[in-house]
Amino acid sequence: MSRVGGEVFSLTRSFSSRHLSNATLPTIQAAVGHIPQKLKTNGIEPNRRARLEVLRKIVTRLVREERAELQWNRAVEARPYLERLIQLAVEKGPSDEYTNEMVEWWLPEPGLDYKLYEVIAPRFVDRPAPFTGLYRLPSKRLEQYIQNKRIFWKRYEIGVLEIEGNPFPAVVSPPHTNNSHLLLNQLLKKSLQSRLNTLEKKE
Amino acid sequence: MNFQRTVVKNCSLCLCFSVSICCWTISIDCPPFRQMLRRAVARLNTAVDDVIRRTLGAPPPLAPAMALAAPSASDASSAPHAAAALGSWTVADMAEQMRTLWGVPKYRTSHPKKQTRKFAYTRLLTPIEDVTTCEQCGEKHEVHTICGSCYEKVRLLTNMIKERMLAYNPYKGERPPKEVEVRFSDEQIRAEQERVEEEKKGEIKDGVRVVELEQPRPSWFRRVERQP
Repeated sequence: MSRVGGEVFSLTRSFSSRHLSNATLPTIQAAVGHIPQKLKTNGIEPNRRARLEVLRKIVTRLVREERAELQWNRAVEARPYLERLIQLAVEKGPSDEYTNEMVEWWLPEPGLDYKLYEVIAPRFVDRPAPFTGLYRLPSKRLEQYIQNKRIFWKRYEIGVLEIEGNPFPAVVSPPHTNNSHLLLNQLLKKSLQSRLNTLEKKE
Repeated sequence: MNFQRTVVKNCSLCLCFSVSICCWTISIDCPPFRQMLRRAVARLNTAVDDVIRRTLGAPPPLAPAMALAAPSASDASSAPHAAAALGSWTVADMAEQMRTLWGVPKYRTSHPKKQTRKFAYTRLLTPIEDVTTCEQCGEKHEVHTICGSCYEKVRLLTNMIKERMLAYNPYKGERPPKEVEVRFSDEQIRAEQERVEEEKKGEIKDGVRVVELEQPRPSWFRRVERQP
């Protein structure tokens, strides 16, 4: 069994040596290795290629829009691919052959390769990974389809996937650090002040 | 008695849509059946006339004693009693008498089946146990999710910015903007001042697309200064 594996490995090595350039990249900071999700591929024959087409559509959209609401399982699946693509752009840059090949396949829309190299990658030169953020929204009952004038509803699990450093307002606003305006704090402040005043008067 | 349930089948004579009578599947509206009935009634009429002529010697009635009547609601309610009183026998009466033999449940629905129908897992409501309160707005949401109502306002503003950000056509050779900066209506004056100062210094930001929105900056959308 191991021999067979070895043969396969040697085959792939001889086939394209440039794929080995990945081995030097650090691990991506997104969940990888869970059970693969079955992504519904509307209109495409359900196979591995169709799955990749779905993922490519999501990755392209995210590079274009920088934030998107997706079905939760799709967002979870697409995130590592997006993370790796940005990592390649940051670490290797446009001079690398393999990176160019990946960008060409994952971003078929014209202008997005420019955006990845010139806009998104420079953001993360000094910033640590992860390059993407994923948030889970409460499940929502949405219209699925209409058949014979009847609306079919479905409860969807929605996730928000985004590229960090985008111009949009933060999905989760940071908690209040300054709570001095709260009523309890104001009352405490006043009472301490009055206490101090009375002490000063006695002296 | 009024039976709500009828077994819907195809008529065995002409395949028209019908209800089943006992073990026969025949429609009153089915043309072959009507023809058969009409013939039978004609035969019966002549037989009855013969009997009356022989016994009483009276002349045959002008109108036929047995008329083929459609079993309408008014017939079913009023006709049988009147017909019974007269001693004649119409199809409406037959329908009224045989109504109990029409489509009814053949087997009793078992207890488990009823229970499953009533309390199937799809009918049951399960409590949501992991609910928390949002620290910002106080809305309830599940622990593993973010607050939906807080996200709603973020979503609206995001879509507004997105609309401006994506106002280019890549298939006409237009490039996406280099970086996007959002400026609200209350920041216009400051932005102008900044621009003038930058022009004086000779530092004009290259390729930055400024998205100007016609509304003041919301308090929850904090301004983040970008590093040059």
